[in-house]
Amino acid sequence: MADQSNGSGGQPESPEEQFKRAVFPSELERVVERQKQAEVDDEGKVKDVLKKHQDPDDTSTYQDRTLN
Amino acid sequence: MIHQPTRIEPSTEYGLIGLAFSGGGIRSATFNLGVIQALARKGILKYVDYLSTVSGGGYIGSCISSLLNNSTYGTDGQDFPFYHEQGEPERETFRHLRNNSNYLAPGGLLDKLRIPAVVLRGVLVNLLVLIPYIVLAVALSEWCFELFGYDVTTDPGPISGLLMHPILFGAIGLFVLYILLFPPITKLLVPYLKWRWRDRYGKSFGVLLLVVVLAVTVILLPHSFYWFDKLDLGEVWLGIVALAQLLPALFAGKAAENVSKLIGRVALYAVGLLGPLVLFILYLYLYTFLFWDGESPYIAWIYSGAVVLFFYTRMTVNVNATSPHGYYRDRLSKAYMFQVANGQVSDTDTLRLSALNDEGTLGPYHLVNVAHNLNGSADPNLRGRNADFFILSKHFCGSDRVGYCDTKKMEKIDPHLNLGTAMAISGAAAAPNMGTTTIPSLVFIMAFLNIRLGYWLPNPGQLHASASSLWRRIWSWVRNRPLSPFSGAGPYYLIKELFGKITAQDNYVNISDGGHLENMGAYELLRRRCRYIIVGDGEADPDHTFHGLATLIRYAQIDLGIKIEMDLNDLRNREDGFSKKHCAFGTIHYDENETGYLLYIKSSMTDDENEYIREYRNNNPAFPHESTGDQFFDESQFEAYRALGYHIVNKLCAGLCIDGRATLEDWFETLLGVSLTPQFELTEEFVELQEQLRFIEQQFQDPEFAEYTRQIYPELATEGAEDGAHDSADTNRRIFHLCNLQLQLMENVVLALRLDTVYARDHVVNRGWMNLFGRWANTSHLQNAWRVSSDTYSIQFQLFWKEALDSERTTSESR
Repeated sequence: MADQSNGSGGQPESPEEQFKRAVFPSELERVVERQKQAEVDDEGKVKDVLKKHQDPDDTSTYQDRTLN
Repeated sequence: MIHQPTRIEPSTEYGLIGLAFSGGGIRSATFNLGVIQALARKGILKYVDYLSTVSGGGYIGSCISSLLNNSTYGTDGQDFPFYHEQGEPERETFRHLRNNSNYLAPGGLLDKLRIPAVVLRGVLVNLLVLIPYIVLAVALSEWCFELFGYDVTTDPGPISGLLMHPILFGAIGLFVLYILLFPPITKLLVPYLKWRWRDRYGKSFGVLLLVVVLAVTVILLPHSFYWFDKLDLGEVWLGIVALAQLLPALFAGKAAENVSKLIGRVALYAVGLLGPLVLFILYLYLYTFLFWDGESPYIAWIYSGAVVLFFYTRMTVNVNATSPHGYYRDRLSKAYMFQVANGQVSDTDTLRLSALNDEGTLGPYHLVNVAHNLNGSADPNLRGRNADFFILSKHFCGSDRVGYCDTKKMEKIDPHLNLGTAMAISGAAAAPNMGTTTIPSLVFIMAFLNIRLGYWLPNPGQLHASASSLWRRIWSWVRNRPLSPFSGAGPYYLIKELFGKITAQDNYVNISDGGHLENMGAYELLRRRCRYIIVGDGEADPDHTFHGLATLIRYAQIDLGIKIEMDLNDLRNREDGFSKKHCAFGTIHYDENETGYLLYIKSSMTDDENEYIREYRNNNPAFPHESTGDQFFDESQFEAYRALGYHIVNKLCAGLCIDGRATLEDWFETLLGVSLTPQFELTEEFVELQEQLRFIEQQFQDPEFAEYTRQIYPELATEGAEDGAHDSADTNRRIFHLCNLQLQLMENVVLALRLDTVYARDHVVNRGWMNLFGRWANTSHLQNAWRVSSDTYSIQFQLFWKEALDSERTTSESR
């Protein structure tokens, strides 16, 4: 398993954690943007669910989720 | 205070919709072009959040991603780049794809000659890489022969005499002694040994056998020079063996089909041995040239040349550049990576992955699936897969095995990586190491012959590690100088490919066609727990065995604990070569609380297609499963596949009017019912059931049944109507028989329409039947008849009665 840190000097992060912290959320961000652009987010569903899952203080964006 | 970004668990709560295109070369690309055209026309594509592609599916997926990266295009109706208005000429986008359907060699003879030229060029470069090692082997051999005073030019005599050679005699003697000690050791010692030591003891027999084989090699090797010189066939052998090496390219596919048969396996091993044999003959030839008649005056030149060649190849050879990957990538890119402005086509060859899906564009998030080859890995979790999942996408590249890295960083380190390259890697079907489809006996010769469409990508895991210490930074700097012997994917990786020793620990990872592991492209969508997944399957499956889908279902169950339920019976080939349906719908059980749906669109014929699709099929019976080896489509072939994909989805969505995401979700829910509803308009069953119903209706015209008719249709009841209790015994008997006729019809309909399932009962198509049955079941006559004869009907019908009619009546009464 690769020895990787989460970019903020923390503990090594496993690829599975990377997926949940960086990969999947960054994809969801793009999904939200695209749905808004395509005017198909009639319920803002993804964004709402994302808010429910995220830490209320978490204002990070894709740029913050980089792995290096 | 710095807040760590939250870890987000994939969930169906997001309602994500994923579209997956399977592998299958240009066949799948063209079929899925039709699929996505219809999805866009029906207003479904704009709701698709993910596009996940493999191999040929990636051709059209990348094409659409690159076109949609232009904000002038959209995913809906006329905005879609491949929209075609009735009565209007086709758009330039369409024409470009049609014109390039012969993408591998569109330019005639010269372009066709480029393919063998590229292969030949690569073989010669591979030889340049290997020659220093052959010279080293020659030098070491001579050093050993001198050390042991061995004269290889003398006649060794008969082979039987070699058995008494002290080395061989000693090795065989040791082996025999070891076997003699086997009985007492197993009796006295082994029972007291722990498992690990027992295992080691077992392995020691293999080691000793290997020693004997090595001893035979050592004894015979010096004599091979004598025989080689005496036969004087060096050049002839070399020529024959070199020519024979073309066999894998010609017959590997055919032999691979018969790999399970003994003869097929033997043939493959025989072909596989040709690669090492040609190198061995080169070794013999070089040795006899240098040392047979005393030491050659060219020896210093050859040794020096080998050293120079070693460093020259180390410094200049990049195995990605010397493989046919570049040719394949460029041809694909010319065909599928383009944009159209003012009616003019221009290429988007250099479109970066990280530049995809930019702000203001409408393309779904594109996941390019490739296989991370791990033929040399000892990880038991691979279980013979020889590969693991790996994605290339806008934000990240990598896998759960080696980790992920930012795509921008990856593109900086490997500027060759872009969407076109990702598309070509994902479609790199022919490679020595190719996941589950690897043929071990052909690994060496395929690598030697440069049949290497795979790609060596910087290891995402190592990219992180490289920044972790000063030493690694210095080493990284040295390695990244352009002419450093350690830079890039050098000859070391060719050696790895030759011997199938590819692991996840190197600085580069070997990636190839995603179909070498999972050919539907839906695995990553399942990982993200998409609530709705549409799979366009254009893989070659003439017998409709659903190998690709079955593999996906198996991997989902084993790796992700996800259970997919799907009835494929209506998709199986009938005796006439057609299937009953084109699509199947299944349920994805992510866990106890989360469920998703899988719409599976199969490239298939049901005999309801238009005339030119049927005409093409008549002339080409293998359609729509012609060999993936055929990458040279003509116009009729291209159009037949495209039109088939369009026809299937267009028919599936007939009457569908999408008005918002909720409508789309409703459509998915009802699709399960559709998938369970036989297409009665195509069968004789419908006519037969209607006949039965007509017969029953005729019976009701009898005045004796007037009261029963009023029970069924109470709206018809009038004051003063006769009470059912006054019916005569004979009338009751006749009503009972009529009720049995009704029950028999109901059972037939229930079984034919699968009304024993909730989805089918709720489906709008079946509403008429359900209403009619509801009325019938509300009558005392039918209820009485059911009480008497229910046990004469099938268990499905009994369940249907209980769940759909009894419970409905109970609910109504309780209200």
